[in-house]
Amino acid sequence: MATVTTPGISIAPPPTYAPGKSAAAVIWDWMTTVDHKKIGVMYIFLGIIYFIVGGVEALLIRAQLATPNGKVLTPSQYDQVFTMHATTMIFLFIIPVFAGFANYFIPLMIGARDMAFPRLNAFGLWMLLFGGLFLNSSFFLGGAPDAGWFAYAPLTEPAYNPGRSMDFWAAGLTLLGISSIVGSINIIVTTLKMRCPGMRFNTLPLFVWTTLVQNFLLLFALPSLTTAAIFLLFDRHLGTSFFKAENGGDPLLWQHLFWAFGHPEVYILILPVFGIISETLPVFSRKPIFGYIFIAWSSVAIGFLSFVVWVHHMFATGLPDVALAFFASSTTLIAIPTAVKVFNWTATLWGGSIVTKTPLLFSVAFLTMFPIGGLSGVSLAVVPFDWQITDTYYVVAHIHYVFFGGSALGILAALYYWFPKITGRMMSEKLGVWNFWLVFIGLNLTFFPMHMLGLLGMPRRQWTYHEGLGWNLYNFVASIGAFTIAAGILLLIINLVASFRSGERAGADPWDAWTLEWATTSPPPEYNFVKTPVVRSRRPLWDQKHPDDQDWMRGEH
Amino acid sequence: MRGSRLKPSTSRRSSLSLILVLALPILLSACTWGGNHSQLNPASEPSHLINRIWWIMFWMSVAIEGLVAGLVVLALIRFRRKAGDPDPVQISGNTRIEIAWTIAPALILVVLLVLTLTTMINVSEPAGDKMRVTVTGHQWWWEFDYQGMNIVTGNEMHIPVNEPVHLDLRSADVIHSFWVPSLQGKRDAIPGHDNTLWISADKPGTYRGECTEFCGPEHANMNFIVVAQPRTEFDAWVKNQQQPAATGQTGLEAEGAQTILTQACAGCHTINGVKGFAGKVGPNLTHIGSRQNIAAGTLDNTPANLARWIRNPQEVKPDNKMPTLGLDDDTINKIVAYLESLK
Repeated sequence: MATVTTPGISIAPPPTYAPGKSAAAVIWDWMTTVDHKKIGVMYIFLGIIYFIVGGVEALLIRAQLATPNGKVLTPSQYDQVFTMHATTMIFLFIIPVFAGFANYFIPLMIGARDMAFPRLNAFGLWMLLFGGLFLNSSFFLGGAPDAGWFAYAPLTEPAYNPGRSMDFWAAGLTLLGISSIVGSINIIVTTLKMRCPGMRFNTLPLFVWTTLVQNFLLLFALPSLTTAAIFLLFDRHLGTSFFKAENGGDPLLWQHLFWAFGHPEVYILILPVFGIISETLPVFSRKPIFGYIFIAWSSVAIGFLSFVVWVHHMFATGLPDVALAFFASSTTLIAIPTAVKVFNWTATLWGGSIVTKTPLLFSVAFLTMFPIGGLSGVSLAVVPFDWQITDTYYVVAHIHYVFFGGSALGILAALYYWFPKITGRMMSEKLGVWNFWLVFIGLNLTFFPMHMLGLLGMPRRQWTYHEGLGWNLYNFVASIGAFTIAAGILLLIINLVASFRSGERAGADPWDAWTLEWATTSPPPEYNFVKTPVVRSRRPLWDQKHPDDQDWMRGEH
Repeated sequence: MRGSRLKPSTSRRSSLSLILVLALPILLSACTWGGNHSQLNPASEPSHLINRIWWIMFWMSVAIEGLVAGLVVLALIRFRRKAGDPDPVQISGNTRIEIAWTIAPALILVVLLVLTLTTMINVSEPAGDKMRVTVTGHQWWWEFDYQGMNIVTGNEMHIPVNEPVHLDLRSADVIHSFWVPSLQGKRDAIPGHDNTLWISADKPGTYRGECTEFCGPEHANMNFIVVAQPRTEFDAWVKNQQQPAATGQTGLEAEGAQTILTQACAGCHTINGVKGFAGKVGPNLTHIGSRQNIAAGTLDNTPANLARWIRNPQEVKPDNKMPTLGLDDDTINKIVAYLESLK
């Protein structure tokens, strides 16, 4: 593979590890590291551990609801499990895994040697670890949070929730918020200030673009959640009445503060995947992304719009019709930049020469599944329909097509795509294909029937349901699907472990890709690049491999 | 030549299986539209209007998802790389096409937005005098107080067919949400907020409703029914409900009427016409014998179920607010006989 060098890019020699390092020394090295790649790997590792924890919680939910009058969980256990399932998947799986990929790959993709603030980076990681442990320790210290991940007041006030569980939730999310904020400052500064010569905004890899937007969202959205959580702690412990109606407070204040964070949050959980897909689809179609500018700037548009749509979570709260009309319009508007992206990705495949390796399978699965969540999202902007459907299983179906059909499939694509870079070894294609089909079939079996449950009147967040309502079959199928997904994820874990130990050697650039992370060894040396790369277009490695047909020569960026 | 003919057919077979997998959930979902608690079975003007907009969106979504998934599958078949294929033409975009497919969804969405706003107007509460009911959500049951009519019921609301009814939604504790899928969209009952809603039914029937805002452990068992009756039947119901509670007729019923006074029931429940029975924590029991369900739709209202409920409410509906009083079977049977006589 490409060993020719153009000015600025050169493959580093394979790293040499000092032999005979003791286990204690290795652990100490990882605990004290400020290397963005090691920190990135730890983020991803933690994220996968919590993915398993959140997944087990999901299986408990589906076991309880597989049949009417289920006896697997008591009502209060069910409430803890569904609250922690969402909290874990959002704050301890998706956000950390994105932080991991951003940490590992942004410096590599922009030709930098580390993040802007390496120690702050380590601090963010360890805050995440302790925040996650703190939150989950509640299971053993009197019960886990049980008021839903949305934690609507006044159900969280001491009068209705006298235990300690919501204190764990409010304080835990504040800790995790600090972790996310320092992480996002670091990623923003790194992207703005550490790009190699020639890397302009117009040549930035799209993963970097969407992750940049995502981190701006984190930075501006999280303070609203932290404020709400601290008000709640004041209400619970200092006798204030921010959310107590009987003393002149307002429960709706909580909802406004929460969703002013919560809706940008939805895009925080999907934007990096937009970037991942924009990296994998071109590489496996063997042609550039279709409409780079549209994809990059529609992400910016989504970023801004995501701050003015939060009330669509509150259409049934009795707000004035004028307010509802405004937020219906803004919510409708945000569908446009998202739709444009879907068409651009489809056009990237079209006319390509498609290599159907596992990362591509997960990417096209994303491309077909995410729009289902997008379309049902549009239907939630239709206020009168939303009055019918909000807080039913239809919304559960919607968010899972977005977060599983979207975020999780994108993360799986990224794992298969970047694993060779991180470990120097390929993942097994055979296991990967099985992993893919089980997850793909499982997710449709699990989440598609939930649309029907919502339409047939099944509210969400209920620990049990009666017979004779026409819900039994759909619930049973959904539970079968959940265990199918679990089997697929089990194969993923096996594949990760087996390939890490004995996968085929990857080499520097196994996919014949075009961005800078593939211009160094797998795994990269601590300093990333021997020489700081210099780029002239969006595909520096294409230019390097095709000296007579470089992108910039054709007037392309 | 033969080889190239073989290849598409195998990939076509795999794409066929992909389509089958995609279609499976849709086939599954075609089984049933549910009963009297489904927005797919509308039974009022607003729910018909909302149902219509749903079907428009549904077919629009099917078309768009079909287009995207179809193109992706087609691309996977047509453009799958074979050994020795050269790199494809390096096309990186087409501004005109991209502007076109920015405008196309925008137009569709404008249509949808117009439909949204007009439907919002069309389902708003009609003017005119109406029967008014204060609906109060409690952890975990519903209270219906017919304003100025001296009727308070629990978990069962009767309305006359084809007459709009105004609802004032209140909460006694946390946020609840009032939803009767076949009749109307939902509206939250929020402490400190005076929300309103209106309902009507265009044919007689019993419509199931439920709480749809998570409100604690027994959120699942906070259901109710709306019984829509022809005007004359409704008037008869009103007349009956306005009567004070019956006094026990048979021996067991009469004994129960005495026994219940010696127990803790009055602390939480009201029975109109029985002195000292004015508790506000649990449902009004004045006409409990006339209701179809007990414990907010948890059980059918039968003597055996009522006895089971009084014997151990925490077994039937864990974490609910009614304590297990430890009554003996004899006492329970008397109380059940009395309560079931309160038609």
